Order: sequence, then C-alpha cells, then structure tokens
Amino acid sequence: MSATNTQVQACGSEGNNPGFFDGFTKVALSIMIVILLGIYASGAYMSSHKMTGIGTDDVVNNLATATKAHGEHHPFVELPGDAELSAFSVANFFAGLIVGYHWLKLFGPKPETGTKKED
Amino acid sequence: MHIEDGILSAQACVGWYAATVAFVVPGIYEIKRRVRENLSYKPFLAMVGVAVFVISAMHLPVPVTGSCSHPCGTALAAIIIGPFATAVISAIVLFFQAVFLGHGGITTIGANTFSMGIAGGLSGYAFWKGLRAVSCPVWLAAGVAGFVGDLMTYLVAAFELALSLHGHVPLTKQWMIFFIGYAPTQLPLAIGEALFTSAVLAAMLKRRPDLLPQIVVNKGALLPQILVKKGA
Repeated sequence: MSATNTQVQACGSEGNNPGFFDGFTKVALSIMIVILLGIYASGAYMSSHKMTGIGTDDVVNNLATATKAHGEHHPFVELPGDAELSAFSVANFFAGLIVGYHWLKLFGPKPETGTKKED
Repeated sequence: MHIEDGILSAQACVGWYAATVAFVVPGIYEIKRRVRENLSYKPFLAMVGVAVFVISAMHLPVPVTGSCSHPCGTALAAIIIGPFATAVISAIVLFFQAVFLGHGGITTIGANTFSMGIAGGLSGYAFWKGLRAVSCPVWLAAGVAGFVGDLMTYLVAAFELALSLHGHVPLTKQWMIFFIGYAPTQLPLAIGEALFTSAVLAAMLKRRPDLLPQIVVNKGALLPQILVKKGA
C-alpha cells in the first residue's frame, strides 16, 4: 500500500475506508450549515422588517463621533465594495487551513511509526 | 469593540498602548516559559491565535436588534494558552485586522487590545479559575467564562470611549450610553459564545485530555463525568 493511501486511511475515523465524508467532515459541515441557516433566517427576518443589519461597532463609532470625537472616524484601510469580501475570504481561507493543520497535529489520529516489511 | 482611528484623543491612545504593553510583555515571557514546558503549546498558540482572528471578525446578525456583531474568543484563548499570552495574540490579531481587513484602527490597537485581549481574556479566565476551584464542571465554568469575557470586552470598550469623550457629561452616564449601544446585540452573542466556549473545550478534553494539563488537574473529581466514565 502506498504511503499516501496509508495516511488517508489513518485519517478516517474508523481506520478503514472512511467513505466520501469522514466523521469530522460531517460534523464540521453540519455545524457550518446550522450557522449559515441561522444567518439566512436572521437576514430574512431583518430584511422583511427593514432593519439595516449594521455592525454595532459602527453604531457605537458613529455615536462616539457624534458625541465629541477628536476627528472623523475611519478604519486604517477602507476596502471598497467586493474588495472587503475578497479580503475576508482570503484571510479566512488561510485561517481555516492553519486551524485545520494544527487541529490535526494536536487532535488527529497518530500516524503509525513502523512500516510492515513485505515478505 | 473595534474602535477606529480618529475617535480617541492622542493622549488616550498613548495611555491605552502603555496599559496594553504592561500585559503584553509578561505575555511574551509566559509564552517563552510554556513553550519550554509543553511541546504542544506552540501548535495550540498558532491554532488559538488564528481562531481568535476569525471569531473576532465574524459578524453575526442578531434579528432582535437588527444589527450585527461578533464574539471575541478571548476567554477560550485565555483558558487554553493563558491570560497574558492571550493579550499578545490579541494585539497581533487586531494589527492584522486593522491592516488587511479595514477592521479597527492602528492608533487604537492599544485600546482595542485592552478591551478584547486583556479585559475579556482576564475576566473570563478569572471566572474559569474561580469556578473550577469550587469543583464546578468544566462545561459550566467554560460557558460562564465565555459569557463574562464577551460582555466584559464591550463594557471596557464602552468605558474607553466614555473616558475619552464624556466631556461635561458624568463619566458613568456616558459609559452606560455607549454600553447600551453594544449590549442589546452583544447579549445574545455572549450566550452563543458561552455555548461555543463550552463545546470547544469539551471536544478538546474528550479527544486529548493529556494535552491540556492545566485543565485536567490530577483530581478525578474535577474531570467531567463523561470523561471519567469513559476512562479517558
């Protein structure tokens, strides 16, 4: 058996053929879908009630500026339009890779140290 | 709690930077010491640091108030990697958020780190330690830590704003005005953060309790019952 296949099988929750989705992927996808459904439901409710959905940080920053701020508030960089979405996507993609890599290193199954000699 | 540039006075920015440095320097020493003591500390540090980056930029809509806000994740971080190390990673996280995501300011990194990384992390950690000292179950102590850490972050952020901007208005009144701006949206998210903190810590303990020696102390009674039953 090749080293790659051995490693893929070792990552399966049952130790044998893990199927299309292993246990970890199923749990992760389930949590993601629940959170996304929550966001969509909240968004639909807010949209139907004409709520803006503005961030509370912005609300309070605006309130602070109106109170007695020492200047006009602004972020360090202003990302226009979809550039903000792009920056968040790139950052979160790599963040996901790093978290996943270290999670596997810490909590994943330990790889077998010895290799069986074939007769 | 991401206070942007242009809101706080120069003196306030310098003051909050100085206060933050007072916690970040011991944090660097804490990291160096724990890296020597525990081989798995470095991967934890990297994982938790990136997780705080994502969690504190993850704006979730709250339909009750019609606005969005984010949890912080610093209470969980303080439990896993330590409260002073949390100050260090929070400063790094807030720097990258300001520079690459346009989230917060550069002059306000000191103030933002103080509210999220220091007040949020330390308060959550204090509740965690206090509840564990009286044999409170892990899931409950972690949940309370997450809840307190989240709300304390916004309480301190509101204080930072009020301290700099209250003018002739009484400080407490201005503080509460700013906090009321945060609180209605933050309260449901603090409950969510309590559940999240509890669930993540329980999952980690279930898989590898040996990697978290500061949590799984050598008293069987303090282990969650589920772990004791499974002989983990």
